[in-house]
Amino acid sequence: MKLAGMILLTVCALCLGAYLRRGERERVRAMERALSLVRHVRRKIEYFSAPLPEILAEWEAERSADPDGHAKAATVAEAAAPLAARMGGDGELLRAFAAEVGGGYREETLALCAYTEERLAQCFAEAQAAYPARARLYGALPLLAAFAVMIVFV
Amino acid sequence: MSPERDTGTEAALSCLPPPLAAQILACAALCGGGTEEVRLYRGGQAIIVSGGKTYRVGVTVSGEEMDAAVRGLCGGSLYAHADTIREGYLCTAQGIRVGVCGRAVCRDGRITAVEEITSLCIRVPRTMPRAADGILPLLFGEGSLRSILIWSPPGVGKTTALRALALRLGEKEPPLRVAVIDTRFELCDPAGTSVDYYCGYPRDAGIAMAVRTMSPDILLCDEIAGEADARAIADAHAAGTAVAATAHAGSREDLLERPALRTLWDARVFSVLVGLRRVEGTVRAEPVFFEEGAS
Repeated sequence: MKLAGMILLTVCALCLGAYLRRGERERVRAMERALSLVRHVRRKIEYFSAPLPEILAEWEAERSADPDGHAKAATVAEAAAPLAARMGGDGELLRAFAAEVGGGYREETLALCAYTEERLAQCFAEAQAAYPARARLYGALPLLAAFAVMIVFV
Repeated sequence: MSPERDTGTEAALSCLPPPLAAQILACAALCGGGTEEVRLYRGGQAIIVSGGKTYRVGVTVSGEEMDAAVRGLCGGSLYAHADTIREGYLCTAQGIRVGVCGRAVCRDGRITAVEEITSLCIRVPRTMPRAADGILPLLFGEGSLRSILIWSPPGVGKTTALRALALRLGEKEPPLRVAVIDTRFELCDPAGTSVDYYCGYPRDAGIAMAVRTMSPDILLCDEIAGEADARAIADAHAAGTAVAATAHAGSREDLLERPALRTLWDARVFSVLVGLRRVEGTVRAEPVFFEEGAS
C-alpha cells in the first residue's frame, strides 16, 4: 500500500512537472509568434502601406503550415487573442497593440508597432533566457514536494 | 408586401457600425429607395440624397460612431488611406468612394493629415449600362471615334455615365481598345470586361502611360481640371487617341471659362460638348445639350 502510494505520488509529481514545463514552453512560443506578428505588421505597413486585412491574410497563409494553427482571423484582435491568452501577464501588451493598431496615420502606427516590438522582444528574450532554468525548476519542484510528502507521511 | 431591398445601399453602408447602418437603411427605405448619397455629420443629423432630392433624417451621429465609421470604411487601416484622405476622399475595399471633411493639419502650405473627421459623404455606386445610351451616338461621328467632353453640375451622373460608357465600349464588336484612367477608384467595374483600367494613377501620368503602352482607340477619364490634365489629353489627341472626359460645370459658359478646358476646346481636341441633366425623379441623366466643334 505504501509502495503504491509512493509510486502514485511520484507519477503525479512527474505529470505536474511536465504540465508546468509545457505551459512555460507554450508561453515562450506564443511570445515568439506575437513578436513575429507585430514585425510582420510593421514591415508591411512600413514598406507597402498595406491595409490590415491584407496583412493578416498573408500572415494566416504563412501560418497555414503551422501544425497548431488556429481558425482564420479577420482582425488583428482575433489573431492576437489566442496568443495573448497563452502569454500570461505579457499578453496585455499584445491586446493593447491589437486594439490600437490601424486607428492612426502611418507615423503613429509605425511608432506603436516599434514600441510593441521592442517590449515584446525584451519579454521574449527574458522568457527564453529563463526557460531552461524554469523548465528544470518545474521538473524538480513537484518531485521534491512529492519526496517531502513521502518522508513526512510514509 | 415587404419593401424591395436596396442591396446597393446595403453594400455601401456595410462598413458602418451595424446599429448606425440599420437606422440609415430604415430611413433610406422611407425616402423611396434608390439612395445616391448618405451624408454623415459628427454630432449632426444625417442626410440622404435619393432620386435627386435631399432628405434630413432623424439619425444623429455621435463622435464615437463617426470614429467607428471612419475606421470601418478604412478597413481598420487609416494609415493606408492617408494619401486620399489628404485629397478629401477615401475609397473602401468594396470600391465605394467616400468624401471626407475634417480639420486639416498643414505644414509649409501643404496638408499633411486630416484630424477629427467631421463629415462623410458616402456615394452609392450604381452600374447603369443604359446611362450611356444618349452619349454613345455622339461618340461615333460618321463612323469614326470623336473626342467628347461631358459636363454637368456635381451629382447629376457624369461618373455613372462614364462608367456605363466604359462597359458599353468594352463590349463593342468589333472590339475597341479602351483605356480608363480611374484616379479615384470610381470607374472600375468587376473583372470580365475587355477594358484597360488604370486604377489609382494620377490622371496625367495614367493618360501618358496608357497612350505609350496600351495604344488605346479611346481613353476615358473623369473630372479633368488642371493644366497637367489638359496637356496630357492634348498629347493623347495628338497621338491619335480619342478621349471621353468629364468636367464639373453648371453651363457651357462656366465650362469654357476654365482656362485648361477652354484651351482644349479652342485647340479642337474635343469635337463635341455634351451637357447632362437629371431625368426628374430618377437617378438617370440624359444629354440635354451638345455642340459640335468646328472640324
